[in-house]
Amino acid sequence: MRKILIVEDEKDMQEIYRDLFEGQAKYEVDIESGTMPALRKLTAKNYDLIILDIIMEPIAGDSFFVYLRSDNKTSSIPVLVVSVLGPEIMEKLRRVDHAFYMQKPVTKEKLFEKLDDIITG
Amino acid sequence: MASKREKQRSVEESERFLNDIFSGIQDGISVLDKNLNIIRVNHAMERWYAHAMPLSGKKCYEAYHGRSRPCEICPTRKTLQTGKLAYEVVPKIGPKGKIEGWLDLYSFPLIDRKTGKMEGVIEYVRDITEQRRIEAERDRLFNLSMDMMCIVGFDGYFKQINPAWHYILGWTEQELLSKPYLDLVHPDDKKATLAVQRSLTKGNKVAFFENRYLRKDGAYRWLSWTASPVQEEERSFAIARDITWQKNAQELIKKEHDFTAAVLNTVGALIVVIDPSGRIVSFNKACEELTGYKAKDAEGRRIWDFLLTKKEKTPVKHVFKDLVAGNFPNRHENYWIAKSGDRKLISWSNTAIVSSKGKVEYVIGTGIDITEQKRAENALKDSEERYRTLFENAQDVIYSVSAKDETITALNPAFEKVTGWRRNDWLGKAFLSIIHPDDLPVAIRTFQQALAGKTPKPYELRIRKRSGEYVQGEFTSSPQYERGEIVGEFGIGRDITERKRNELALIESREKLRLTMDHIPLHIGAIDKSGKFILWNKYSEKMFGYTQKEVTGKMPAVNVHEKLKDAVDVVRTAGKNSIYDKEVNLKHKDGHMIPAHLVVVPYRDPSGKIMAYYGFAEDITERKRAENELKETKERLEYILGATKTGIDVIDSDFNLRYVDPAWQRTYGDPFGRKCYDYFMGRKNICPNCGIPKALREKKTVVTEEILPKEGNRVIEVHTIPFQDSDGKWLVAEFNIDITQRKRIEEMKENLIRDVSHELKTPIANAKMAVEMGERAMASRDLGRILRAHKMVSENIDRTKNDIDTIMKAFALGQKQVLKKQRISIKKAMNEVLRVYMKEIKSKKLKIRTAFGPIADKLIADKANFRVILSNLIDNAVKFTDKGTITLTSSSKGKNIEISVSDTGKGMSRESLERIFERFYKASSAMPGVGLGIPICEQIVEKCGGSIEVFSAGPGKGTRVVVTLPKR
Repeated sequence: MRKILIVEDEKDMQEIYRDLFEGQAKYEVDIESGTMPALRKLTAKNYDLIILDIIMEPIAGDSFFVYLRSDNKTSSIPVLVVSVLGPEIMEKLRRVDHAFYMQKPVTKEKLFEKLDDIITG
Repeated sequence: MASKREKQRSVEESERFLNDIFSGIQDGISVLDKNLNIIRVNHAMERWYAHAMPLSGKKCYEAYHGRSRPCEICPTRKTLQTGKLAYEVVPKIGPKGKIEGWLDLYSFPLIDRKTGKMEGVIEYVRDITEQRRIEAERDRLFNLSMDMMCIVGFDGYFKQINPAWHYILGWTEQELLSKPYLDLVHPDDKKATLAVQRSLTKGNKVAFFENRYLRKDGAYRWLSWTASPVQEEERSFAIARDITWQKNAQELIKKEHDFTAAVLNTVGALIVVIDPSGRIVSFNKACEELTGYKAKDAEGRRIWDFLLTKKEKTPVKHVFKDLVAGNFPNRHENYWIAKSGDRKLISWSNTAIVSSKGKVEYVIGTGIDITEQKRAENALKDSEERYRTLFENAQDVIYSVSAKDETITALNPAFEKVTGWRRNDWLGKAFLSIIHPDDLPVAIRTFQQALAGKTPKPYELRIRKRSGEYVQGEFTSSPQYERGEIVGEFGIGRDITERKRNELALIESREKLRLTMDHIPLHIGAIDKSGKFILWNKYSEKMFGYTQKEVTGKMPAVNVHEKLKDAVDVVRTAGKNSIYDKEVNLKHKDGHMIPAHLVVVPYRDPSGKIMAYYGFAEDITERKRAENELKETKERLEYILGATKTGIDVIDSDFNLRYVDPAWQRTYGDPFGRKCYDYFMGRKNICPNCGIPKALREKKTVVTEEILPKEGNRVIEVHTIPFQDSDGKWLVAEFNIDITQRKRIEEMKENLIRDVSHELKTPIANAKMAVEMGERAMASRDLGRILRAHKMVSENIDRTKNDIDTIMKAFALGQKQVLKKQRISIKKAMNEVLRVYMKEIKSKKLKIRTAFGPIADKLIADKANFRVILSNLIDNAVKFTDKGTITLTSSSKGKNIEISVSDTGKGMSRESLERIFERFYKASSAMPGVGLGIPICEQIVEKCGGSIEVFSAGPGKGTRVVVTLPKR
């Protein structure tokens, strides 16, 4: 089973993600509501993918992305940015190899398509 | 008869046997009568003095020293005088009176057993030329003696000692230097030593004075002294030699026997005769005493059966075999084990007695116990090695120069490091050529002193480096001896270039400091730990109005500061950061303030403790004035430019400036002969988006935007208008309009729209995804999930609606609005707002407390706006408080009413508090609301002429918002 870490601080979105990944056996999902707990998870476990929200406090998702890319342990984990912000946000990120983007709202179908793409492709 | 003849033969044989031993001994033996006539010598002596044969019948000094009179220093004469053993090292004189080598000469008194009178002297001579040569070699290289050398003060203290002292006596240098040397002298020798001491102070030289010195382990060592006083320096140079082992030998030979036996026994040397099977035939007195075995016990036994160590049995057997095989004489050293178990190291000279048939009959070993000597030698070897290490590793240059041709004979590796030359570049070269020409007199003088046997006082020379520069060296040198003759100069040089430079720099800096202190326009002061000035330079008098006299040691530093707090801050900061560096106001004696740049540094003692503070202050009144003037000019300029918001310039087709608005000229200077891109933009080429070529080409006005880097990146809109001058030449006129402000507003608008759109997008996206979730739940008929999704959808739609309302209000507030003046009861308004939130308050079980001052209820303001304020404050309080109390108060403060809303809720971080008035600021995007509540309140309150403040002690510690509004 592939392991996915979702970093999303909105309660509703967390619930929706939980619902989205329910009843499937392809992915094992951990959801963290902030960057600090996410970092703790990342040091303890190896993930195949990170789903990242951008508008977060106190550390915004883009800063978190920079951090992920600077740490050897996490620099090559693919990151899927899922945000209400437009695709221009990706231009602000550096070292966007292994970085992917989807704008909210996302449908279950589109999300899983993308995940398959990223992980198998 | 037969038995008598046999007895006779036996005596003859014994005589022959003794003679054989006597002759066979490798060391020289010479028997002299009381008049120094040689009576008998052994083969060794005959061999050494073959040129003076026959020896018997000649005077010793004649035969051995080639002299016509007795020698001045002669141990034999000493023995004849004293009847005691004497020892001396004497030169070995060759055929032409040349010194060929050196001999150890022991002279033993020859006493007639019957009369008890001294009949003559036995000289026991050992050739030590080789040993001496090695010693001389060592001395030449290291200039260190195995002897204990010292400088003794007339006050009875050692002034200087060499390491041999430590090695031989065991005391440290400190221990030896710290007490009168008499303390270490054997009680029985103190009197004699004191006498010698007195004699020295009178200028008499002392030679061969013997006394006993206490060794650290409690034993005494016999020392033989030679000392030479230098009266004007009130000290003596002395050399002491450890002669303990000789003294011991002396005791061994106190008893003598008959003529030959006496020779054999008296010499103090071990003599052992062994037959070819290894059995001991003869074992002399010395052997008995050394080993503890009686001759009768030892004779007949084989040496290796009881006298040798296990390890040495085989090597000694080999030596013995060699001797028996006819390879003699030889020498070797080995240990003998005494009966007591003590090991004695013995230096043997061996030879063999051969029968008339050429067969080895006996082997004769002559030995001397060198245990003590070896020990001392080993100790010395240590010091030699140390010295060698020192020589090789010394930072200082160690060298020697030959007296013969003034060439350098030795250099240590430090030479290469210091000078950059290779040692081979200079070994064998004349030493004067490496010395600075100006220093040659010193070099020559000191060299001559050394050659004259003196030790010159330390001196300085400049030595030419490979690079051609000179290195400053400090030198100590001394004569270098070889076989008692001065063969050159031995010296040590130290590179003091750096030290010299530092000395110079120090002198210079001190001088500079002194000049600086008094002449430069800078206050220099220092305060001690009590805070009072201990230094106050001349300029300080001028700057502060206080004279040195009234300040130094009296005035506290506080006096030059505006407040006590400032002075404390200066000292604290300087102590903490090791420097205080700020522009501050300092106080003149007359009370007026002086703008100054103040630097204060602490002065620490070596342990790091602050002892004082040094302060330097520059009066920056003038600079400040100039700065202010400049600022004013700039402001005026900006005002002019801002007012017109236009600047006009005229440029020709080659980008030459023809006219520039005078207002611009004040910023940019004289435009004459300059290109526009250089003048305005500081560029070397035409600007990339320049409108001039296009305007000239199309004969139409072109509008471009430029950023002016020389004016803080001011943004201007450039209208480039082409026109023809009276000569028909095309030019452009540029109208430059400042659009910085406009740009800023545009940017703000963009940000606002982006923020708003994000704020709105989030709940919409959430709602959309919740709908999809609901659909999935319906497919699986999960009722709970359906309801949850429904709730999420409706909540997010509400959020969107609220957000839109707030945003609309915010935009509405941006528009002009007429404020109504209405009578408002604060209490009533609050209750109305609270009613809206009752449901949530009840579900959270929050307590509401109100405290309204009676006269603080009435307010005249715009009712709608006031409600917006209250709604926002109460909304926030309810939203962010999960349990506890919300407190509403109003009170009268003069012309104002103060309204506060406090809660026991989430509170705010410092960062949040700072950003609370920013539009769309939310501590977390997960928070309900848009982030406009407080900014909207602020806007309304400001419009009403009031103020708003937000307090929180931190996250989890509640929030308090205080709104102050005028009563009417």
